[in-house]
Amino acid sequence: MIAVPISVLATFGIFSVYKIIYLYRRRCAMFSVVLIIFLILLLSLPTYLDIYSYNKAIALDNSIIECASSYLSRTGASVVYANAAAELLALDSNYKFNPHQIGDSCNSLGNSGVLVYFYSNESSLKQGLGSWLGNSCYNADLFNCNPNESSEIYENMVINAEISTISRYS
Amino acid sequence: MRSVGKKEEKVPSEAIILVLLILLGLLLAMLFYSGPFYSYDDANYIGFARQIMVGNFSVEESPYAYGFAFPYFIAASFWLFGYGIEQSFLVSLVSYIVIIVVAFFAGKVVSGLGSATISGFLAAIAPFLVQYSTRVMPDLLLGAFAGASLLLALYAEKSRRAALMYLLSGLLAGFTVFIKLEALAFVLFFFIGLLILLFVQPHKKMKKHLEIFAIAALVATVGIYFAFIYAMTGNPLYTISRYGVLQHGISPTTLFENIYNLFVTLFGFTVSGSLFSPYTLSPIIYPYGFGIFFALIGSVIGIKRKSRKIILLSVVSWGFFFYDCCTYKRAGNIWDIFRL
Repeated sequence: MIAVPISVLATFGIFSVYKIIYLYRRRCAMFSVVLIIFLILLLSLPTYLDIYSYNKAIALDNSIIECASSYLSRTGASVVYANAAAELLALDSNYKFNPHQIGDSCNSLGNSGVLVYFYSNESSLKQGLGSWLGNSCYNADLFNCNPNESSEIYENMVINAEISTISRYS
Repeated sequence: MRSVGKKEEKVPSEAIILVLLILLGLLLAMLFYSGPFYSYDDANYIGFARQIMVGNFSVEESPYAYGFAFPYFIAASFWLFGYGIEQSFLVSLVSYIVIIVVAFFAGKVVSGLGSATISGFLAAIAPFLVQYSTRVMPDLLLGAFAGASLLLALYAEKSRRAALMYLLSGLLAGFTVFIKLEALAFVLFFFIGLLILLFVQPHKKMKKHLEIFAIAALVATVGIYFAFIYAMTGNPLYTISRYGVLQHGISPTTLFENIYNLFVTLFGFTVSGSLFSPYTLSPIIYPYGFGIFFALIGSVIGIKRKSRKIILLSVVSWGFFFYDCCTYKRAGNIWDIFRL
């Protein structure tokens, strides 16, 4: 929301520094602007690395969900994963629960059974999510990762949304 | 002849710079691609869009739709280009590009082409924008509307059609509430900024009190929002109360904590001493390190010079920034700021 004013104000601040330096050391003024921009990029680098890994985690999570849904489909069960997954899977017109496609993605991930296990019944869902999220932090703030908190958030979110679907499957 | 020649030279260079900035944005969006998150709000927004398309979307039944305009934009994307993953985050991607373009022109209004280039560049590389560029979240759309409203207000200063510019500015600013309820904070500080412009007139020869058009449009649009909510639910404050209930459990606790977080954000330090660390805070609100520091310098100098444009930008950005810090743990609970 404040991206535009902050960008403009930061630029104004950088230019103000440029003008001040220009008064005393004309040759250094432009160099100072370049240096400031370089520092901003440099200091943003760790953040970018975090975003990169976070977004890749999202992509991986999406793949696992796809994979589990495919697994359910392949084994003859209804596709009952979270409405979230179902909505998105339905979006992809190329996604026909093709066994070949399932095999490829599941082999590469090696996680095909994880979510299926979660959905065998409600208590195992909670248990499974707890242990799964105990080793990783999905949906939580990756920068201040708290596995317990993240599993709680994840559990509440998924269970509240999907309780009816789960009971239907069980 | 010379001046004409110069003008002809300037326009292409400006266009080239803008195109390069947009390409940079697209490149970063590709590099940090995530796509919509199946297990997060992304999927809910997509679900709402699908409900809209089949005609059974209801504001009161959609807890995530406290700002409900965003799913309509996704639905429009589906309607135009069909269902698909890419179509679902198209709104965010376009909004990201719009923010870059708006930052470019806002920078140009304030201090010329050099400023426009740096301003657009800083917006393009802002991590909190890049992160959401391929997600299906309303934040970038909100940023695009908020930025556009500010740009129009800046343009209004020198425009012959200042009244119209201010009117559109107020409408766009007010519309942000329809996108996300958190925008009420933006509206509040934009309103204060306009009031300051209205009563503090450093340049007396300028347009007389035309800011009133923006204020009127802003108030009317926000009023329509609450009237709409009343029509839908029978309670004009339904979304606010529901939003508070949803977010209350993880809101900030103490005044000290809030003030501490404010200073951590402003100066980018932590107790461990990592000076100017750019990611000491949540990825939602963290600043881009020195960028925020120079924004502070820019504000101080701009206000000292009595530049109306900088005053408006400063009030909006720092006002909202303060609000954001006060609701640090879960930015968005609009009541928390009043609980201090």
